[in-house]
Amino acid sequence: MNKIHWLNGEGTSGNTSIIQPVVESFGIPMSCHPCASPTLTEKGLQWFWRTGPNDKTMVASVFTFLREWREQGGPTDLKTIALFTCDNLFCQDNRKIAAELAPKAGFQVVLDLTTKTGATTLASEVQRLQAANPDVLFLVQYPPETSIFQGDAKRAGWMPKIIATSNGAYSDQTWLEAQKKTNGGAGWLGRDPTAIDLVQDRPSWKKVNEIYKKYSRGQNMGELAMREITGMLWMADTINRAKSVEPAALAKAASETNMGPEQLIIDYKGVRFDKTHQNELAAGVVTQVGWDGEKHTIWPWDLAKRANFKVLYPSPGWQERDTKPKPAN
Amino acid sequence: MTLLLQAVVNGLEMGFLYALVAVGLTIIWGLMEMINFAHGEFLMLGMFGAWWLSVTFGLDPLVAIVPVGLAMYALGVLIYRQLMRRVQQGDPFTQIFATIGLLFLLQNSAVAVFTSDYRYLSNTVLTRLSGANLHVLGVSVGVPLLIGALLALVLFLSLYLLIDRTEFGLALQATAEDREAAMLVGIRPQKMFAVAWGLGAALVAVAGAILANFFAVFPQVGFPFTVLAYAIVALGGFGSILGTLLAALLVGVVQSVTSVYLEPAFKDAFVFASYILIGLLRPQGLFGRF
Repeated sequence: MNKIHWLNGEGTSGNTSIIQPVVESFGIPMSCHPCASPTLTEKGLQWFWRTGPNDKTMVASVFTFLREWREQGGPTDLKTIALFTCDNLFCQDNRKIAAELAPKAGFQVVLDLTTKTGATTLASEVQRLQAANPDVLFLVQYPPETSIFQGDAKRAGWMPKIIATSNGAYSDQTWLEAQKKTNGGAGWLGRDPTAIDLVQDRPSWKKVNEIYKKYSRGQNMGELAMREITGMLWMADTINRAKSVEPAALAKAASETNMGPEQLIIDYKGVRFDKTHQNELAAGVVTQVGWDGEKHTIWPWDLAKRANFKVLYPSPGWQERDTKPKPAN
Repeated sequence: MTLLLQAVVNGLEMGFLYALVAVGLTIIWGLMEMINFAHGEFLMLGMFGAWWLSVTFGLDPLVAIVPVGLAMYALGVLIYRQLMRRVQQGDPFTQIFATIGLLFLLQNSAVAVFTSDYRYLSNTVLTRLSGANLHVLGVSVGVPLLIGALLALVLFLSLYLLIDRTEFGLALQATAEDREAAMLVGIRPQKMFAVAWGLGAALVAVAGAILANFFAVFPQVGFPFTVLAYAIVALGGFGSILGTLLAALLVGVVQSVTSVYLEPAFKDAFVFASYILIGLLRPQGLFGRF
């Protein structure tokens, strides 16, 4: 840790929680912008900051959408839900939050399955999901397990009315791009920290995206990249205001942050930290993958209105996915 | 009952693929008594090879198994000649650390060349068949996995015949049993070891090329398969090729059936519990010899 002024990372909540005590003992500022586990800031650490929304905010977005959707002309027959999550800190945080929020949103949890990270098959798990037959599947899995699930669900011919996700594969740009060849992602909905489809309306975001594409083999900024770049912008702002790289000066400047939305390339209402060093202005939206393979904002309602996207419901069956034209072909 | 039958069929289909993954390790670890912790990385290279040939030349993975297998055979021989032959003379721990080093070298090289992004194959023969099922007694059998499993079975049985019924196979077994005695009858052990490494690498890479149809391709993909392969080889009995097949089927079924009735997060724990149980009753594995 010698000669380090700021530690940014590590990208996963599980690894970050292991590193945190070491960094705290050295008294060095640390941040992790894509990490979403609420526990990272709830510990009240002195040297850790997070600009991104945590899972509580983002999972709450999904359930608020599902609850309010009924009043906004959405289906009224969605009554049951199954939770299908992997076994690490990130997935389990999401599972606990969803288990708490689902009944409040009017859902009966009919199955709560935790799977092994690094599973080589999920066929039996799909059998159990099929038998439980939930209206909504709340799925939090990494991209490899998500693609195994898709293969096994297709083989079983099973598709719930709604697949709702939180991060994991849904936030992975390579997974999203791959779905364009198979229509596999059409109808999936999930939380995002930004209305990614509205990005094109904002010239500065577009400019950053063009720079990003130069270094990412032509890939667009995904929401993870947007969260990370937003965090880097905040770090630059903090260092500029601190006029020093001394830990105490950096910590003071970090805690005094007050950035407005115009300084950001993401749909947060700004950056301002609460006493746990969580950005209290970080917000979430809900998006859905359309037949074009792109994410479209469907909540909050004001942004959804601007996006002007008709929600795909129920989630298309496998045959429909196979027969419809694929965006990448 | 249908639920159980379906779980057994699912497990058997995966079991055939596990068998092909594990059989390379049976040859290197079980037969030649050399430890290879980089086994899963050979699988990963096979998957990347199939993916690269598919996106670059439009070659279907079922065809790509030929160039991938040949390239990985050459790599296996090269690794034996340049690395393992030297460490073979030393302590077993030297072998362990050499192959752990090889694991990180291959995995990090893949990160450097391909990045950590996930890659997916689509529009291959097997992915186009996804969703196609055969229905027997109320149980559905996925056609793509069935083709993969049958292909694995054919390769597996070919290897069994090669090892058990040919002069070359007998020479390989003789080298494993008594290197000096084998030399007395004109067998060159170094050549046999090199061939074993080549075959081991080629077989697991071919398994990787088939698996690339069903799994995301990324540099760390090999590890879960390595763990299962070690359990399978030990369960089947060191050096027993048919034992590997039966153990792989058993592992597939145990994973599948326990996940239907118990907590799926512990599916591998049940696999290792089965290994411990069989180990207590038959320490040499199902078909192993001491």
